[in-house]
Amino acid sequence: MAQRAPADDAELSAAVAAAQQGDEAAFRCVYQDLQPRLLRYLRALVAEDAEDIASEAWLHIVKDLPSFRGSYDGFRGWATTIARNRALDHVRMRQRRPRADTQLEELTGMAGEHDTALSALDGLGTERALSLIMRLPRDQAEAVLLRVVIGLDAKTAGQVLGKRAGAVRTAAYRGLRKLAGELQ
Amino acid sequence: MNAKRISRRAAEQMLGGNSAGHQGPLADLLAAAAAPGRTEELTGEAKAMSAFQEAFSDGPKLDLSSAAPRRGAHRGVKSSPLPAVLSRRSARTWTIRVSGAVLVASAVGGVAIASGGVPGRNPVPVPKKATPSMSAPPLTRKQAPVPSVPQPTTGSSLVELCKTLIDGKQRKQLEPFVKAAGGRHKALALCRALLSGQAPDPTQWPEDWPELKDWPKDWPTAWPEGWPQGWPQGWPQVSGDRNDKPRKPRPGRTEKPRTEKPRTDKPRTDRDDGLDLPWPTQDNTPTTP
Repeated sequence: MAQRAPADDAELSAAVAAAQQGDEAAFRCVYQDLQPRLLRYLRALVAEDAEDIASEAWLHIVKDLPSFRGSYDGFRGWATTIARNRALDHVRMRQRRPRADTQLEELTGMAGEHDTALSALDGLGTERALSLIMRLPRDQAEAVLLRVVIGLDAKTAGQVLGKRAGAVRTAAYRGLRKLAGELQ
Repeated sequence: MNAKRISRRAAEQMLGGNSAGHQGPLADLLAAAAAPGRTEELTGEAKAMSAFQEAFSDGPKLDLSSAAPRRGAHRGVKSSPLPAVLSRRSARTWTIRVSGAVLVASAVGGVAIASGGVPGRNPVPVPKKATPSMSAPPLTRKQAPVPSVPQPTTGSSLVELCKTLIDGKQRKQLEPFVKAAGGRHKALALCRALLSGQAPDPTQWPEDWPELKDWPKDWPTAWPEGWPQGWPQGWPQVSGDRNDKPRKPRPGRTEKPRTEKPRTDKPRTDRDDGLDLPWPTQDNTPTTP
């Protein structure tokens, strides 16, 4: 059930505002909420380089933090946009796209073993879940990750992707159907 | 849960993090994907924190490279962002003062100027109100304290005062000027800008200008009413030629202060490093929950 990090959005909105004034503890709080999300999303884009890209993105986020205006939802979207742009630049430079190299059967076998294998508190479960999502077509995978992992609504996810909210909803829906089909 | 039977509504609920009422492998998978962060996902925390500390150690970081006037080389110092030492507020007043100084420096343009602006010394009577017909943009005291007005040279000029100051001589006549500038190093910075005939180099600009409230009361609060519509007849020729067309270069000159002034409309360079963010950061509207 615990799909969201412990700190709620109101607290985190306040934390962003405090971080903009230079409050270190507030910034740490924001980082700890957002970084795992960014990392998981970035892995779908740049695989093993996700850590580096996330690190670059944070430097940029810190630099532009004073100019940000908005709620924490907006901040997540804003920061994700920065991270995504970094990732896409990186991909363009490498001229190759990351691919999930695990075999489908292996993953679905693991995922379908038992419900507890996908327990929300189980790190390995998280890895497997992410691997399965990353096997989706890219637009579906991104839509699902932005909504479920980053925690954006369809509109904000659309802003990150440069698409309409409806297009994001459709892509995410198709992704879920496909995931559900594979989990059977 | 049957894949074929996932309704859009159910999918939307699960995507929105509301897994209540949804069970099965798919709901578990989404919950696992969105599980709280683990410590191994926070290995970059120290680096991010130190970046944050660096950026905010002396107030929010500002990129003021665009403040460097685009007037070619100034004394060979490449325009560079001011160190992150200014608070946002002081940066704002800093901008105002640089604008003022740029205007002054541009107006000086290599001509000898009068001592009229030095408070306490040959004060020039300055009308408080600006006229709508003046050629220079209307500036209030709040926008740009202009310490001097170009006038025919009479008596000791500001240029002479500045030379004396830069030479390091202690003269009584300097005191009002230094006091008005808010200290010796500030007066020096202004003088160097004036004497070089160029905009001041932001990297050498003093950080702590006097507060506006400390600005001398007898200084002008607006451009003088008698501000020239055209440039004076006896304006020296910079290039030494084109005496046959004395009026041609004038409009260009009068526009110089304006071209220096509005720098806020230039794109921020730190926003322009190839990222091309689809969202202007100023326009982030709060999104629906």
